[in-house]
Amino acid sequence: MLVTALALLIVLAPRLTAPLREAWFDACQALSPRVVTAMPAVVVAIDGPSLAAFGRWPWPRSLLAELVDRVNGAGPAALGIDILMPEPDPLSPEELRQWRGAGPPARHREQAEWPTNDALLARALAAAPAVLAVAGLPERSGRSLRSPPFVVQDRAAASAADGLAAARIERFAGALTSVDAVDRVARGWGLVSADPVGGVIRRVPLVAEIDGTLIGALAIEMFRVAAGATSLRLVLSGPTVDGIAVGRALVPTEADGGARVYFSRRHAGRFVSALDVLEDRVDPERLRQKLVLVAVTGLGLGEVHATPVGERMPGSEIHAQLLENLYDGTLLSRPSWGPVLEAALFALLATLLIVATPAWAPRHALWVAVGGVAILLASGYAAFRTQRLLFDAATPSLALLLVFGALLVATLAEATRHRRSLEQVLQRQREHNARIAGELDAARRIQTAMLPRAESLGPDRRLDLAAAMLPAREVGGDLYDFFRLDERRLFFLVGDVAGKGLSASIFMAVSKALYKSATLRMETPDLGTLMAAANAEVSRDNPEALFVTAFAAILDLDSGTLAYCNAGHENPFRVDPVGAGVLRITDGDGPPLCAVDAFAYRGARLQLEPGELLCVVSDGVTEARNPGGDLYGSARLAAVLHRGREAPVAAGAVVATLLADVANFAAGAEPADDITVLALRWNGPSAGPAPGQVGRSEPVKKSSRAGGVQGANDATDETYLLDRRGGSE
Amino acid sequence: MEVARRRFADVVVVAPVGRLDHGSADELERVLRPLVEPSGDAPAGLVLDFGRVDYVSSVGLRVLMIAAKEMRRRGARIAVVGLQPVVAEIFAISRFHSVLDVFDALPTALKAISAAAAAAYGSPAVSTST
Repeated sequence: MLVTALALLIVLAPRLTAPLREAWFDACQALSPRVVTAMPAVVVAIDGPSLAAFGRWPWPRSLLAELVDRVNGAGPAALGIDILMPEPDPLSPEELRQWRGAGPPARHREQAEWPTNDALLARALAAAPAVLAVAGLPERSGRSLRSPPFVVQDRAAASAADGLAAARIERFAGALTSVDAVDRVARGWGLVSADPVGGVIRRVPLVAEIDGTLIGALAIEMFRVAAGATSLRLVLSGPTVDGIAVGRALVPTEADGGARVYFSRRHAGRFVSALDVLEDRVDPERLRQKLVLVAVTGLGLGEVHATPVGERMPGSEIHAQLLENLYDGTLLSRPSWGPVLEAALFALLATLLIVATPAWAPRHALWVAVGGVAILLASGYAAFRTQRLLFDAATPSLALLLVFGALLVATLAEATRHRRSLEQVLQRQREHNARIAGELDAARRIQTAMLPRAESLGPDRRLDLAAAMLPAREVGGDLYDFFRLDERRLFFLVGDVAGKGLSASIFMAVSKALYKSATLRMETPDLGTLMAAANAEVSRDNPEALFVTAFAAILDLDSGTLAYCNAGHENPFRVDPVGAGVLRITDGDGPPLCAVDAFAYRGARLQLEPGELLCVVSDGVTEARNPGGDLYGSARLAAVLHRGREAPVAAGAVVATLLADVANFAAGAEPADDITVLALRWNGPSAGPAPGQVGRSEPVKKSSRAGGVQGANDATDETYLLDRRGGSE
Repeated sequence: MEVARRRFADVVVVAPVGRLDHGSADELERVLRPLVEPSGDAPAGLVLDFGRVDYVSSVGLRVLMIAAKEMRRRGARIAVVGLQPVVAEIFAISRFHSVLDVFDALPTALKAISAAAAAAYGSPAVSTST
């Protein structure tokens, strides 16, 4: 879209892009001005020294006549007078007579016999191949315009007159010519008008029409006179001017009959001072067979124009340069197909750029743009240097950069949009993670907070219990619980919800609460019945089809009888200090809760020996893995317990040692599952609870360990200290 | 996880390979769901051949439990065969022989579940790969 618009602009609106185009052409000329090889034209300059010697301008035409005579004496090919003399010479004797009033009659007679200055100049000009200047005027002047016969030849149309009428050649309403006496003796009449554009002379009309009469430029006329041709020929192709033929030579022009001067830098060799000519100090060879221009260059007189090569030049030098161009055929040409080629090149490069930009890295697209511009500029300059063709590289380049800019903006906008959407996704992800983390944190806190503390049992010499649960990276579903049913009986439970995450932990919380309520509801709980009841309760609301393994037991603290039921849980360990060593409790079992509806669980019983240690773990312990993928296994666990058997230690120490051993084995590997350890030592039916201590919830021993290892024992210094503290309250 | 399926008459045999844990349980569940859910084409029996299963985590057990419940609900049989020692221990610990039937080998399981399937197993020409 943009490309089409810009391409059309290049072709159809040359005026709009003219300043840029002309600046490029000027730059080409300034960079590579014409090298002067021949100097067919010489300017006889009425310069500062001449004016200093012969008086201020205007000179009497008698003096001009002498100058013309002297130049003509050297034998120039043509003599152009770049001076307009529209009025009779005011310094002519008869003119002086008129306004100076009467003098002596004899003098009058004498003076009357003198020829007028205009007549003197006319006589001199008539002897020379003189070409006089004509200026075009925007209004009628009433002066008769002399011009050589102009043949109009149209290569395309049947009627040359139609072509001419349609041609966009420069047209003036009137002409400013020299006085008739002078004008009529000349052999040629050439136009000296040229419109500077932006103060710079670049083009000169080689042909113009003044009030219906065709006239050539001064340079063209000098060429014609020098060539001895009697007529000029305007060659048209329809409304397009192809050129002007002088004799057999065709000077090509642009469509409107104008020509672009290829300027060289100023050259002093083009000038001869009129003073030197008048004082006969000029070698006639300097002027022989030359195209001589007589012009006023003195300071403040005559026009001075800026040129593309950056130097200001008097009009006469511009004429001289044009003559040099005509002489060696070095006129610049702006081909009519130029704009089309420029637009096409631009469209091609722009399309390449558009195709390339999304596919390539922006850096490469930049190279395409820069490369495109470089190609345009280089080819434009090359065409100028080698063919003197004016190919506008600047406008397509600018248009190309414009397209690149637009693409860059578009790409940038796209990239920004993409980045924003990525940021949004990232933000949403973060929020989501934070929410999940928040939920997990909350769940973990709830999960940990729900676990009972050993000290809640109060000091009891019959019992030493410790438990710990280390959640895995994500909250899991391990649970443990213990509470007194009465003074004699302790209920405890270790469970594991199969699955991970929030649902498992919530399910665990629900299971634990259901268990407790089911246990407390029963008058004389039987573990099998209890498990079946729990199974029914937990299964009732289990949308995620989770299942729970659980080992539940009731210990009679006086008798050491342990009633238990194992619902698919890791078999607990027994460490008998005097008996067979480390044993597993394997009976009283059934499938995990929720796995089989209405399963008839049956409990079992066993008799503990005083000092015997029970250890119930979750599969997070036995299935802990090291970085090599090996399982911790029940054998390692049994070994740890066996070491403790040699010198019985507190339950808290058993838990801590076991957790340390598992952590040591995992060697930094991320735990896949929660780790739960519950250790319980029955100390025998000794003294029973210390008076006044039962039911107190003072902390007995507090571990700094995360996850909370709590121990309750009555055989340590801590308890002793606590007892004292308790006693002091 | 790679899961091979074979059909013997009205019994489908599913044989997963590798570890059955967090990473693969969903895959097995996807394979099992159409087999266990009631439909006209649903098999009368499902046998899980665990001959090449190295390990089953609790998440894996959950998939088996769900399958077992679905099968039991529609009166179909489900069994697992060929337990490796590690997996057998896991089954023992979890008491999963209460959840689904455990057999030592496929023919035994097929014989217990369906005479037609056992017959089809006996004559390879009738067995079809599904």
